[in-house]
Amino acid sequence: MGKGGKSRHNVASLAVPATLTVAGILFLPLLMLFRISFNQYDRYDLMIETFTLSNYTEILTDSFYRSVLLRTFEVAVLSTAVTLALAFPVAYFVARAPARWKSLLIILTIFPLFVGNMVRAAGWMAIMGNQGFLNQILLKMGLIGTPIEILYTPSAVFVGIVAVVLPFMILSLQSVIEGIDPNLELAASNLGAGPLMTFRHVILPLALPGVLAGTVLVFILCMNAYAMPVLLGGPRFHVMAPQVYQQITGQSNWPFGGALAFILMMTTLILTFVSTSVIQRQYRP
Amino acid sequence: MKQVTLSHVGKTYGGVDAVHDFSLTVKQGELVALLGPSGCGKTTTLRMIAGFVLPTAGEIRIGQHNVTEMPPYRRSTGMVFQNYALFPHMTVSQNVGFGLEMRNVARADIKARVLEMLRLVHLDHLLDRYPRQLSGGQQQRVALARALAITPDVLLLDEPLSNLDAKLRHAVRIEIRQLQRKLGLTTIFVTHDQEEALAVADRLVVMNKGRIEQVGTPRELYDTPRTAFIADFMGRANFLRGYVSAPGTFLTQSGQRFYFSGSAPSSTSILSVRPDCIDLVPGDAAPKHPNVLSGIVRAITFLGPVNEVMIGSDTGQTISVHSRTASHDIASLKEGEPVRISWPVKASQILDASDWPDNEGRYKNRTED
Repeated sequence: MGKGGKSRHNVASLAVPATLTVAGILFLPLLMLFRISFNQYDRYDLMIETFTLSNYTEILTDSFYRSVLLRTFEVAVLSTAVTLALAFPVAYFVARAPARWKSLLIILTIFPLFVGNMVRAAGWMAIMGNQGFLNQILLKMGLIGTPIEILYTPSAVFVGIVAVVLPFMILSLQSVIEGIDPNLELAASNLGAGPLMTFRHVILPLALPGVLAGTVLVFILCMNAYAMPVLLGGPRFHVMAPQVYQQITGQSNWPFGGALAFILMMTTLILTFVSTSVIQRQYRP
Repeated sequence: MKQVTLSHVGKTYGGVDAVHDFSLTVKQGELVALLGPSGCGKTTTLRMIAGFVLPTAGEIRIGQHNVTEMPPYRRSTGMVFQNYALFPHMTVSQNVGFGLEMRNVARADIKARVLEMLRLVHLDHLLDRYPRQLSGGQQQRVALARALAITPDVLLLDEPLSNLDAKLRHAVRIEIRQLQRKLGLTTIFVTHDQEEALAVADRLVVMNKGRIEQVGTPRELYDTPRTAFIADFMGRANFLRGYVSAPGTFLTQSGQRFYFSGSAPSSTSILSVRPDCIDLVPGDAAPKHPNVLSGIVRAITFLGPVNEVMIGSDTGQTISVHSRTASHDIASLKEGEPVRISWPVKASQILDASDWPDNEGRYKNRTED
């Protein structure tokens, strides 16, 4: 007992450096920003030390910021849902692939992550622009007479975001599906369940931890998307993350930018927490 | 319950025959064991009957229906998996009721049938447990109840006892046999354990390298094995290489003469004699049987009811003898001392050696070097 307790104590102590680092580089700046969000912006002094909720009340009562928050939420939910639907078959295929193909497939899955978001957005711009690849092809095929607007539409942002977050969802699902005994699928089939019923009653419930992890991860990424909305959405497409940037660097309005950042973070946290607990309650074995 | 017929069924994986020209009819209510070493094709055969694997040749019929190309969920086979494959997110009663739910049976009827099945396997007190809360033996019985709940045409058992400890295995195999008789279940039982197969089956199909070696009742295979492979697989045996020199007489390569009864293949042969058929000849006494061989005691191993005596015989081979612990012969035996052994004429089995010993390690209990 004593020995076991001691070794556990030693293992715990190994986590100390990482914990301190995380506290230092994550929580400290967050705390400072949180404090700043209660300060007052001033045209000449930029920031006045005080304690006011005016930044928060302004954001929540202003129809522009409310619509930005709503749009962010819409884009995130839709992107997450589509990503989940697209990722599941791929994740299943990778998880059930023969061992010698598996590592290659996983490398292919994460391969897009080797290229930064900005670079990828530039690539999408080359494809989606008025003189872009897609319009050229459609024109050549005679399907359209004049170039159609693809870039700077919500659809462009949506496609860009889904492409970025897809690998995260695939990996989250794949690792969980791999742990599901393939004999369970055979057993379901043996008992009369077709492929659809096997998916609904066996694979999906057992893959739920992966679905939850992937959904949470992807939803957070979507809520905080920056490069795709800015570069593919154009100047009139507004979501939260670019607004934070805009306030802090463009207007030098740190208190307002801080408040926006915290509203974004809290919204993401609350939505994640609520949806997770709802899904978990529904599928509790 | 229906009859199951396999006609010239084959399965090739990338040019390699996993199962080759397999023909067998399992009669209604019969329990047939597919027996063989790992990789012999027995599990592939079972999976083809269940529909998990599509045959590349031949035809499978369940009753009158040709099910060769039919997906598993349209067949009615009840399978018990080696690892039971119980749905971990469902309770015992949900597991057992799953097949009925898929068949859109009314809820009340499902409940009644689930209870009936769980009573059958004496688990009706564990309805709301999850599989992880059950012992291995209990999981095994839930898997059996789940397979039987859908009233399948045929019950398929894939090494159902291999994950149980020895004592439980013995009890469960008796239970399965009784249940199978009581319900008249057409059953195909895959195992690599010859003792298990001998104990439960009406008929045995011994497979080797994707082919059927011999089909017969347990007694037939044990008493009159057709090949050395079967003799070896059906229980420990000693093999002496030689040829039939005259009717009823076998001459070993080192010149000893042994006697056997009945007919024998004329080509190069192997004389097989089981360790438990051989007597130790005490001291200077006259041997009881005409087949006599002398040698040196190499090792004596106490196995409980019997002692295994390894004897370096004059043929140059090591012979295994099982001597009952209760007998007095064993007490006077010492390692390193000379000994004589004898066995009756009818204990000598002459086997075809045409496929012997082309492949090292093919006969798991080989005593010949």
